[in-house]
Amino acid sequence: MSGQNYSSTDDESLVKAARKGELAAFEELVFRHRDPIYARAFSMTRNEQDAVDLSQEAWIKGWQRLEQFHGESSFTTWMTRIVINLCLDHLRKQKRHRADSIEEMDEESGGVERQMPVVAVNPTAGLERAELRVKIDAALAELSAEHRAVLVLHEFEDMEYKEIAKTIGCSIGTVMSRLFYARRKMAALLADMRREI
Amino acid sequence: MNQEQQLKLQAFLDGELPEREAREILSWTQRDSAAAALVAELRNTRQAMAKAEPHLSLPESREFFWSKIEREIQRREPATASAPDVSIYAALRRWLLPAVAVGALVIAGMIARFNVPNATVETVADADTPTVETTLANSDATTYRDASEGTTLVWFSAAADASPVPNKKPTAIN
Amino acid sequence: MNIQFLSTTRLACAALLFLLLAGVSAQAADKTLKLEAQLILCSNDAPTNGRPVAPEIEKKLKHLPLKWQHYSVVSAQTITVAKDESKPLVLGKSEMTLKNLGGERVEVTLVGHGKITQSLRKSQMLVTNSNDDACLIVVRQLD
Repeated sequence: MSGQNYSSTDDESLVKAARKGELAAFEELVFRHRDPIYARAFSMTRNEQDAVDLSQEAWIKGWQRLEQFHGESSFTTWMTRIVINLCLDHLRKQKRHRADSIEEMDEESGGVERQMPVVAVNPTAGLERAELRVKIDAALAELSAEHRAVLVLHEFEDMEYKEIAKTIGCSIGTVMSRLFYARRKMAALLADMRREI
Repeated sequence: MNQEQQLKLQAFLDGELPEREAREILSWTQRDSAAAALVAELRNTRQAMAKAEPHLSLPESREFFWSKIEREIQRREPATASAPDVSIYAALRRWLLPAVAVGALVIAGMIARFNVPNATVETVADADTPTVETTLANSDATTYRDASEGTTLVWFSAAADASPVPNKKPTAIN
Repeated sequence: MNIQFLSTTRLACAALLFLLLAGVSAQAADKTLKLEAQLILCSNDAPTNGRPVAPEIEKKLKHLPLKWQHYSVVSAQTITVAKDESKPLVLGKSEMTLKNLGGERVEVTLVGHGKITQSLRKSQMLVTNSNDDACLIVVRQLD
């Protein structure tokens, strides 16, 4: 560990120091931002160990690519993009070993979600934020990896359709249909959870 | 309502439509209750997610997580490469000289080994003795070695910690 | 040129012979280690639950001047570590890394406590703290 204490240094100065090879400055960045990076990895993979490994790999790549960070976005946003790309690579590798579910195949042809009845009553009305977080988390776990990825990138990362398509490597049409399916499925899951109360 | 219409409603909600098209869709939702209901459902889901992204913490301590990252960073630091020497004799020299040096060291080591009867015992005994470093300034480590069973006990403790040994701290023995 | 070539040939033959000899002794130094770490629960009451420790481990533990009489295995992990490689693992509340230093020497780092460097041949065993109450960690080399 270096002798210098970086705990009160701002992110911009930490990045500058880390670029010069100061590992202790980078360690402080890891300490500050490890939770949101891990959380993003978990929201995409839904596997704790995979999320730990992928967020660890993201930090290593972040160190190697520090020269490419020019401050156009916040450091967290930049790191989040790195971990998202790693998660998508990971999910692609997993998909090669997984059979497509019937839902996924039907979703591509636009069948399933058209038949779901519209959820008229807002299923999350009146819920406390903490309770809502639990329900959202449980519902996200029910989605397939592909649907969850699009939903997470749109809703949590505020990406536009075009950006999601480029990140995931699919057409804008595929993004739109996956997002639509994911949202309709989430609404149905949240409504079911409400009925169970 | 076909899939294309449904996706247009979603794009309208997400602000992804050009202005003229967005106005047309808005007008449609004001006339058609089914279209309005679908937009309302999509909007509710979007708002719920915007409010309630799950907050998670990394399930490993800071030190442990960082130690793995640091190790990998150092392992992957690129080694400097020397410029290749094109001449064949230079290439042979590059292989032979180190090979000769390594071989000479091995021969010297083997000669020393065979000519010094007690060296083996001393070497093994030194290797069996553990080297211990403590992380915290106010802690120490107690070492106990049972050579007959080949067991080493290393106990890290701060001043207030209970010893695993009854009565008093053990002393290292052979 | 011929003289140079002959000298080079002699050197090449000598180097090959040396390399063979070096390779034999280097083989042991480069060995990949299969290591096992066990989290052992210790008590003075006869255990009612839990997997008993292996007899050879129990014998070694009973030879140590520990205040406990009974030991049972809470969890165990086996990892393979190549020379100069280190691997992290978590046992209960303890985080540690095991590094293969070559020549059947290992470096065991217990996060928050310290680092132990010593030889760990198949007949040997290292016993150290765990962050779990009344528990030990045992590290040994497996076949």
